[in-house]
Amino acid sequence: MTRPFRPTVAAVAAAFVAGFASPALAQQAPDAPAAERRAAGPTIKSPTGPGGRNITAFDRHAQNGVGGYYDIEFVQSFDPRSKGSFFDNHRLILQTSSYMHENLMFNAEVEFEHGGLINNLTNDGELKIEQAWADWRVGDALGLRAGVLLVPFGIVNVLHDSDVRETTARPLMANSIVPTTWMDAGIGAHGVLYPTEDLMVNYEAILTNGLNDQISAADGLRKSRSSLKTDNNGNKAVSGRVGVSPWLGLEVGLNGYYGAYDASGTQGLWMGGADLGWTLGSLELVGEYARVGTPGGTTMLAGKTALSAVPTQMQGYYGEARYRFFPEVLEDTFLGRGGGFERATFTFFTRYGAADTDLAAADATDKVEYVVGVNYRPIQTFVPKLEFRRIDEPITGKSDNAIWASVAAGF
Amino acid sequence: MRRALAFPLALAFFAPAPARAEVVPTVYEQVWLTPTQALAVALPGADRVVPRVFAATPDARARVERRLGRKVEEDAWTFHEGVKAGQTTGWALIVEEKGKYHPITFIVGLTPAGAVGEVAVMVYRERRGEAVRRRRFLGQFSGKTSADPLMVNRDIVHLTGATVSSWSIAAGVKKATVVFEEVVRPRRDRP
Repeated sequence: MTRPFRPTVAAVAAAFVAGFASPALAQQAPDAPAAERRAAGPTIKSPTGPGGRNITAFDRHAQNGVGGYYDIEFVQSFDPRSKGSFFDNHRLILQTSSYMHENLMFNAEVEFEHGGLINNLTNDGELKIEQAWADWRVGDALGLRAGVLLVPFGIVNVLHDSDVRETTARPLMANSIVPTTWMDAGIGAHGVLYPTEDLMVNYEAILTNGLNDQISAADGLRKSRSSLKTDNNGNKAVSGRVGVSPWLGLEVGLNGYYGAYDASGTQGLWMGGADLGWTLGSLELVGEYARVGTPGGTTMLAGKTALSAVPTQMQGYYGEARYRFFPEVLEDTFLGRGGGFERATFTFFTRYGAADTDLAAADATDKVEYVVGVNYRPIQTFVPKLEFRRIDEPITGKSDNAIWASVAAGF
Repeated sequence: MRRALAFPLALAFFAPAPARAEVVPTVYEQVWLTPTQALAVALPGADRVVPRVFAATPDARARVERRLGRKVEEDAWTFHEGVKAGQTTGWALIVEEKGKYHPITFIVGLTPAGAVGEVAVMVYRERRGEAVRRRRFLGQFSGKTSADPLMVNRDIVHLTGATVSSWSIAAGVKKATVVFEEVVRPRRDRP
């Protein structure tokens, strides 16, 4: 019996990196005058290129960068219902970005979660495209984008990278209300405007396949993220964010989403939200709020044999305070300048948040979280984190206390 | 068979090694201000500008490095003195600090007492990060002195997407204020 070909994690990773790992070679621009180059026609098809007749990245006169991020987590739960303690090889993201022209760019992220698809294909993890888009920068005020896009709703969904987040655990609402990482296939526009010297306005709006009908009180919108291959109803969803920054350090964002989610395309889901980021010297305050509305009714969830109710209202929010510091007493130690880290920083953080995936029901779908912790950044993109997280279910009286720790590296 | 393989193997062995690819991002030099334009911004109202060179003596260098907590490379600092009707209106120093990949050239204007006046970016060499030239970022340095931390996450708000540039400009402004105090002010009557 012939085994179906399945690329291993290592092979996919190697191929991905190899294709983009030689920026200096890849960016060699032809020296010939423009007229001569045009006369020669598109050289990418030349049989004498680095790959013979096969087209390689070296043939494409792009300036490429390879990067990504990685995190390893440790969770110690004190809830007897949970697994106790475990290490989680959570995310390995390989990212490549390429300038084909000053105003033409491609960016992609391939994510291996947990074990990817190894472990005898037990589906212990995930291998997926998290972003892949081509971008045409017409100017600062307008960029056009097409591909697999991050849905521009709130802060965490777009700035979700482990080395960027201060905490290990994402806010509760990022799990079920704004199902982070929420990406979808489509097209969009984005830009930045400066109406005055101090005022900055930025925006992003996209048109995508949209959420599907796998909406439930148990998982919120988490399982309704769209296929990247097709649309379940042919109706497109529109979403966007407008951010207004009256001065440097303060930004307020307004977010919206609307799209039909059922197969007939008659049931619409809307989302509205707001976010805030405010830096006051060493103190930073961040918060988000999102509310979801549907007409209700029922839906057939995957793996179920009976119809399930679609919640009519959901909401989630969080507020997070961060305080950055570096004790002078540590300046000459390995943690500071003594270790070669000129800009090392500790961040103390605390967060309060809540998510309710069915506002009409007072049950276990109401959750509240409290987080307190600290992290240390020797450089901006390397960060060990340690935090205590408590999740309460006020209606049932249950709570889960856990210690979360991780090391995240952006490379 | 062995002979057939010998030639390609020999070719492969003796073939010149391909050039090693280095990750050196392209310089996107954007000249936003010439030195003359920058001095006009940093020393507003001055009738004339007088360049004055101050040597980085071992003693001065040691004092500056101690206060900054880092090495300084310069052998001398050229401060530009703004003069109007025989009176000093201010000073300016053109500073170069390494940004994410390439140096950023900018000017730091100082009052006669050594407080920061105007800061303006002259040459920027990264592909993106134009926001560093805007007043909404540079305006926050105005009025700061060497006694201020002049550090991102302390008293300076960084630009999202140009964090390293923000750190670099803050470090350069701090250097200008400290060098002024250690090198220029001891040589002159304090206002």
